[in-house]
Amino acid sequence: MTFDEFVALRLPRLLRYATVLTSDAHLAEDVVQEVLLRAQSRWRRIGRLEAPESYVRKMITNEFLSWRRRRASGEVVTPPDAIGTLRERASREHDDAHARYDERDAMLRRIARLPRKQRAALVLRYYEQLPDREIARLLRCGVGTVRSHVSRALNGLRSEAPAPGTRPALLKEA
Amino acid sequence: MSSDHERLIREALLRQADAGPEPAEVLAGLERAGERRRRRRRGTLLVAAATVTTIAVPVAVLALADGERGPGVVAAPDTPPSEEPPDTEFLGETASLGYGPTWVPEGFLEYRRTFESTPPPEPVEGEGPTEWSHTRSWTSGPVEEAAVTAPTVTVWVLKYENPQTNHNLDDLPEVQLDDTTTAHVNEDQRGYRSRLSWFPAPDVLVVVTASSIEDSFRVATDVARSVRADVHVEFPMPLELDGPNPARSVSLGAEPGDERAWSALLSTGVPGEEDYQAELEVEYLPDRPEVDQPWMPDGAPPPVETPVLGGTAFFYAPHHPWSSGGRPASLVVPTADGRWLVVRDGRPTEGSSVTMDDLVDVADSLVVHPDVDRSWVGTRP
Repeated sequence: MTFDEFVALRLPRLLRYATVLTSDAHLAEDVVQEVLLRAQSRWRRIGRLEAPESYVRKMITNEFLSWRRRRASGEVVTPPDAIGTLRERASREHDDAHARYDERDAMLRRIARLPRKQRAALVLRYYEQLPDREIARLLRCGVGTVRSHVSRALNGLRSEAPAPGTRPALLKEA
Repeated sequence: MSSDHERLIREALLRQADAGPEPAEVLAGLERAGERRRRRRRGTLLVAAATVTTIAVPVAVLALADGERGPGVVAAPDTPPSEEPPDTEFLGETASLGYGPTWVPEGFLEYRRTFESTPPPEPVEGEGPTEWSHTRSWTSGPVEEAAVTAPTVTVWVLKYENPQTNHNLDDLPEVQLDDTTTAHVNEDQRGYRSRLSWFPAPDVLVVVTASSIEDSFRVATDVARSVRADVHVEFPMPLELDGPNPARSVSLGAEPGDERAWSALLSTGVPGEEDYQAELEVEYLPDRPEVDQPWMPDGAPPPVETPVLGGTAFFYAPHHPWSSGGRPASLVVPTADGRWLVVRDGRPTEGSSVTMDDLVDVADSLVVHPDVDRSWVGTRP
């Protein structure tokens, strides 16, 4: 498979993965573009791998985890415009029939606030549905560390979860 | 955590995925960036070729951004001259060093930079995993005696993923660096070696060490007081890996004043090996390395020739690799610029199972930058 064929076939999935990982569509674009540029320059080797997409996903994961270091900027957080979009969307769909929808928005906001490695571990387990051993390989850590990341992430999400029936603070501001 | 909550997480993540951007913007960005990179590469190739021609130095351009070249391959201009002025921007990975001193004593010259980005295998209780660290070193003596007998100043910066609350420094004596900053002091009894440690930010530890210096505490304190946040000091990587295995650390050391006397060291894991302790080392040296020590036990098999990247390399099978004087599995590779690479089992043990294929894999994925920026060698801040 040539690099162009790979991009044509896999780019939409890579962008979805990066969006989930970063909680930010703009950052996802930047991360995927940066990774694909590097992958292109190394395609002679990556293209020969048994699963090039898996390798490129690993590059995306690493790129996301090291983004702050490379950019020397602040923590990767959901940007204000993304929050605004969520708020707008949530306020449009505020009736009880969409309560589940709102819960997902609230959950996304909580996930976006997790430390990056916890978020990555969570995404790899619940979005990619990978076993812990594979997650450990991707994150270059032990299986115990993966479980610790996921456990802390779940605890953090649980401790921030609103009581049943209450609306997220974000919606009250809208 | 209830299955309802886990289902909600899955649904939320799927919804986030649905909000992903359209591919068109990335495709356009790839095209634009690719064109910029092609222009830069043309420029760099021209500059490299011109340098080789005009000063007649037999230095090959071993690795460029296109990844099609490696040790043993000489790059040549493969595109027509560009109308644009050459851009000599370094094309490899560059690490921003973040914090650095603005002063070291007169006569101390920088001779080594190291960048490490490896998290520990398991988090230490009370600490987050290390995100990266870097080290810069200055000496006023011969480099080969630095940190042993020659006066040496080292600044080590450790960046954690999370703010630190348990510093494990509280038992040490303190010194005030400024109105708001207190460093902890660790000094040997004779005063020849002093170490000051402090957190300039909750997630950054800086350690300044002055060693083999008569008044080491004063020197370390003065250097520490000069440390500033500085994202502009960078470390272009002399070695990179473009295979599945990431580099754990990369360093470049040099003898100030001797343009040829520099070497680079890279460490990485063993391909496919989950044991974090297993490690391979790559050295990029000016001269052929001596693999066999004179005191090596008898009976070592001779090296075996093996093809690596179109050239011939030499594999030395391990021979009592865990004993002093023994030989770890090593692969010695001549490069096109007359320098040498050696890839070896970096932590040989009795159970080491590093093979020739492991070493060849790493050599094959190595990207070498023989013209890496070394302008910082021999300077003071």
